[in-house]
Amino acid sequence: MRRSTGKVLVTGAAVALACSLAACGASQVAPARSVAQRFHQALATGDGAAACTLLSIRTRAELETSAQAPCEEAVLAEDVPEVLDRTAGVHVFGVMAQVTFDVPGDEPPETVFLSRYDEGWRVTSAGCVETTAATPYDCPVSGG
Amino acid sequence: MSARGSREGARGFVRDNGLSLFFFVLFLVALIGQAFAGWNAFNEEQAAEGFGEVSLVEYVASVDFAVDVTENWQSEYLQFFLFIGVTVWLLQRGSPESKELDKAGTESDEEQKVGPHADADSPGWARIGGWRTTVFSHSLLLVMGAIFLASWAVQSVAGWAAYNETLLEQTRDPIGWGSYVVGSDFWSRTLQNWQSEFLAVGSMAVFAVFLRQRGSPESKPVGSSHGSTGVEG
Repeated sequence: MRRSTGKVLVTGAAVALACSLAACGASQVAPARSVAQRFHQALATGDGAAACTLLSIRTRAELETSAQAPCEEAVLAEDVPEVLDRTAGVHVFGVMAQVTFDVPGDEPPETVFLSRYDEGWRVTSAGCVETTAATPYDCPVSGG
Repeated sequence: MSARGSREGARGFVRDNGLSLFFFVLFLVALIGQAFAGWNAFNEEQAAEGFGEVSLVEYVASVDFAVDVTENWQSEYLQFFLFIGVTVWLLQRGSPESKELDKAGTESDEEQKVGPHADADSPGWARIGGWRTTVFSHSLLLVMGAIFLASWAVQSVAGWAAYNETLLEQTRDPIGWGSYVVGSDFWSRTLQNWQSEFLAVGSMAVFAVFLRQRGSPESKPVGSSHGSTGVEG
């Protein structure tokens, strides 16, 4: 077979792709963590309206539908634990992120899931508790 | 150089490099088409699930696009790597893709025109001997193999990140790269590409025994017998 291809171009593009993967994920860790922390700070101060501005549109709608109440009231009524200031872990992949917080006492860690929209990172699920390994978390606040 | 001379020079370049230019243009058109189609498909899925959408530029720089591109690249280069390598030793009676039946192996220096048997216009590294002639003697296989491994490595990283993005959408924990490369997503993406490449190459070697394309160097001459091996039209 006599087919030729741009070997140099292909290799260069592969390297560029690999670099972009590493750079993109790392640069979004701080913004995702910041939104998750602000969400929990709003809950801790009883500011439901501020917490709701950090929820995704679908999560806000599902919260209001399931609670039959405005978001700013419904979000404060959900079983989302108080957290310590420091985060235990942040993972960012593509437009999705997971932020884990330590909580006071012996309670399991609190996990928040976020997605990146035009307006920035927004919480899609919160109050999440791991059930069993490799299965979805149980999240009182969820939507997508 | 006059304008007429420039035009003739350009025409000569296109004629002399028509095969590579044709496939390079096709490659770019297909890659751009893949970018637009993949971007639309990605955003449709994100919108349906209520997750964030991305711009075209973000999509082209995303792990989702990267894994879709590199899983195909690695399999194509693996195909050529294997084909170049195994056709040194393995033969197919009647196929123009095979060497003649008495020529299995790397052949003599005289047949390969290396060292003292080099022609006046042979590449320098074919004539010079030592490690440089050894490297040059396998350079096509080495480069194809290197591009295959590089593409497969990028696929593994991009695929791992894209898979973890899906896990996060499902409110599941992300997994490590080591777990990903022994898992079903990585091998499903890999093997679905490999099987199609192996089928295409194997069937080409066999079809070319009995079928012809007049004028193509991938085919035997139309009148060649089905049993003639290593003959290109």
